[in-house]
Amino acid sequence: MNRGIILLPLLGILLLFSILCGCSFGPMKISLASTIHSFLEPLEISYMDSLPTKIESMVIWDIRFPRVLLGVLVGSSLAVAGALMQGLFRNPLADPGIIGVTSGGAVGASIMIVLGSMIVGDEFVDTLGAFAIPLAAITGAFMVTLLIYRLSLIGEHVDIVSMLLIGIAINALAGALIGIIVFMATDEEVRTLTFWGLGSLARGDWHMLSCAAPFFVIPLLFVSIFSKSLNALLLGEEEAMHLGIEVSKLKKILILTTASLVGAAVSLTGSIGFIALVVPHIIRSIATSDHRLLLPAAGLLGASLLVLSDIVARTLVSPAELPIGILTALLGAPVFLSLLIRRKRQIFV
Amino acid sequence: MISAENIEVIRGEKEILKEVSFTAKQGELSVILGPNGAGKSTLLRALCGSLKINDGSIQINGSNMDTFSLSELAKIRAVMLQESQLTFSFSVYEVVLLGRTPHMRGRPNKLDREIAEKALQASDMIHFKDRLYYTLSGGEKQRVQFSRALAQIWERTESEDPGFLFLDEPVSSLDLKHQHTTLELAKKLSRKNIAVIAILHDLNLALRYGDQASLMKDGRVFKNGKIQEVLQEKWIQKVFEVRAKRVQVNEKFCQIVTEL
Repeated sequence: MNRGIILLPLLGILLLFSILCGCSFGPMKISLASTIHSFLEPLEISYMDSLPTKIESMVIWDIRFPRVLLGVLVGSSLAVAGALMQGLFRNPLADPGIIGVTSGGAVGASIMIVLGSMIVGDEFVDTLGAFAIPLAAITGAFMVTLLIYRLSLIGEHVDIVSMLLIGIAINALAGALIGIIVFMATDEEVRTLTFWGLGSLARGDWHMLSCAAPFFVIPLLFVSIFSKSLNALLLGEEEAMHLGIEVSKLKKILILTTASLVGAAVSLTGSIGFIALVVPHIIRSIATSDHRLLLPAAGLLGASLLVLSDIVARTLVSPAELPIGILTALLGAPVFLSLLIRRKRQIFV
Repeated sequence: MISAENIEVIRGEKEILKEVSFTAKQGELSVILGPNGAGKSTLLRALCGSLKINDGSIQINGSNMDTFSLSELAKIRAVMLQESQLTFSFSVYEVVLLGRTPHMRGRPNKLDREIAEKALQASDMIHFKDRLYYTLSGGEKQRVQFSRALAQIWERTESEDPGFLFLDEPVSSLDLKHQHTTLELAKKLSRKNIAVIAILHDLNLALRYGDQASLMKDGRVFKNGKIQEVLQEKWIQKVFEVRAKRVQVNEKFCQIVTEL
């Protein structure tokens, strides 16, 4: 546990640094000093040099900060969801993108965008307002997680090969479903849909953030309660039960929580792959598999990683923008491969 | 004391346990013996509460087991199953600390850490404390799991309140020396207010360390009683379908020799 005393503050500093960079880098260059200053302004703390201009303040507060904040929420949610899912499946290969949970969320969201008013009625969609799409995505993600868990369970054990193969099937099915939905959609709806394939933080604005925040923040806040149970669950379900854990209740809550985190993330930013796989893996390799440290550390690192990736995505080919999913895949796919290779030797980190 | 009365377990069409009665007391090491598929593991799982029984009742210290919550049970009984897989990188020490889960609120305190160390010492695994669990051999893993189970009910060895330790083939992967040290330890625990219930395959180890024995065949208890009386040549022949002979080695011990 001593490693936690160093690790968490370090990751905290990394996150702060990422947030500042995220607000200061972009087509319009704003110095780091001005960025810091513009954050201190509302607190009425000021130091004389490098005051930000009015435009700089606007760019930071209205454009960049909400986008960075979206990256923080989505990045930490995906990383924590990955860690939870890997604990639930007792396997480090369980990534919501690979096993199809993300696709489930995307199908849910697409159905809501194109067919929502047809299925549940205009009135209902209006009542839900901005919550409609996140809720639909969460429902889709939840159903897929439940399905995969049921199907890949052979006796007591989660069969990993089944899990990955089911993921392929679900991803294919989801692709087909989204294809059908796109076919039925209007031009405007198609534009909204297209971005799921790619993943982007570009839609971050304050209104959207405030609507989706509860779906991220509430699970993230109470998730650490399960650390102890998750640790025990790694020994096996029966063993966890012998240690006094209400396993079936725990599994239901875990499935619901991961679905909420992944679904909310998908509904805002589309499919951003591999964060959920890579981040917990990094923490396990450099520090520990103990969920008491793993969960908060993964949250912090996931947030930093996505914010930093976003900086690269929007500055590399500026003024155009790279889809952020490309970057996370470049980072994540090799890690996934290396985990598969290690599986042969039955060694997981 | 734990006692099962006329319990029945049905899975699908198959009756796995039929009218099984079983009693184990503090101060005794009770052995469950029998050929493959006799229902030994099922009985053990029913007794430790991880398997629903279809009929009959199980009493723990006089109260029905259904009245205990999982966390209450976890404080008085520990279970060591045949194999425990752990695919993530936990150290041996961390695995043993997991045994303290029912007593912890959040993270382990000083007492939990002390008990984990003592439990590791007891099974002669303290030198492996910082090794990663998955790098151990099968027998070493078994000894770590024994320590984990022991850490779970450690307080019970020092108090008046009875505890229970269930062992499913605890020595199956161990070398000769550790087969003896492990069962010696189990026996010692049984003298400290822990009722130890173990499934064993080796009749000679059972004869040497057991106090009570239940001989099972085809989902029924064939013979129940003191180990010396249960492990008679005629009963062994009936249940295991091998010829058996008891040979007196010295005044204290005898050996069972079997052949087809």
